[in-house]
Amino acid sequence: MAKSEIEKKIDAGAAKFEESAEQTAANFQQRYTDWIKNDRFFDGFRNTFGRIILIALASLWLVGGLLFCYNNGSGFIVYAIGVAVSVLAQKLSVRFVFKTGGLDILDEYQEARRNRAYRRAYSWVTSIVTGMVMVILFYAYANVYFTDGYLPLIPDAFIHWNIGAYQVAVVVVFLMGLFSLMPYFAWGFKGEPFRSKDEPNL
Amino acid sequence: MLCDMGRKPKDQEERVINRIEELRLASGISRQELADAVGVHYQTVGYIERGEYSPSLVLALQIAKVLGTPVEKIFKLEEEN
Repeated sequence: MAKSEIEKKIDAGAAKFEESAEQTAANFQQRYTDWIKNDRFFDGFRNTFGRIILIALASLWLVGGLLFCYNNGSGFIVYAIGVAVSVLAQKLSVRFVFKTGGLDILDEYQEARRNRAYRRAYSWVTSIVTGMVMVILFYAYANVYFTDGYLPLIPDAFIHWNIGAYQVAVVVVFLMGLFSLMPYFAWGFKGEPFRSKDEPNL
Repeated sequence: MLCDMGRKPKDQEERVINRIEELRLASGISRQELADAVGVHYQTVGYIERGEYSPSLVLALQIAKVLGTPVEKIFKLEEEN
């Protein structure tokens, strides 16, 4: 059965809308890609000095915030926002190399450095988590020993470790921050070369 | 010999030096133009020029093509110097 005039108009309108939406999405993607590749607004985050400062601040915030919030039972929201801001600053600092969103924006240098950073981050995270487990186990054994006067085969001291929901939330934010930031730390201090805004590109 | 095979540690690897900056400036090409021509970032050209990164063979050949110079005239091992 032949389509009515109205149906034809609706089909044509839908096709036009679809084409327009696809074009808009493609334009947006192209602009986003160009921005990531060529942005100079955040160059201060990308040179070596900027990266040293960012990594130092992120480390201090991550560990210092954990200790403060855990012990004082306050400041969780500020701590969580600070961790998120640290991750965002690191993303900007390395031009989003770890989260490309499927876009083809990395060149071979960035790919090679990113892959090396992943390997180092994996190694560091393994060491840190192993170290934390060892510290907790030591704490558990020591707690039992000094409380009950003997060393059990398997310590059940965790049961005596009174940790509230607030502290759990703080530790979760810390761990999320640690795992998120580790590849950026492993990326290294070496940043993009200093480049003045007036540099003639030579 | 077997002990000479495989990849050397980073500090023992031969350093590749290049004449990209010299040839690029002689050709009047900016870093950005060279980067665009070979499909890498501006910064990557800087890292290569400073000898901080050794490009892949494909990229080295592309750079040589843009600069109009044979690749062996652009790159060489530091020990050859």
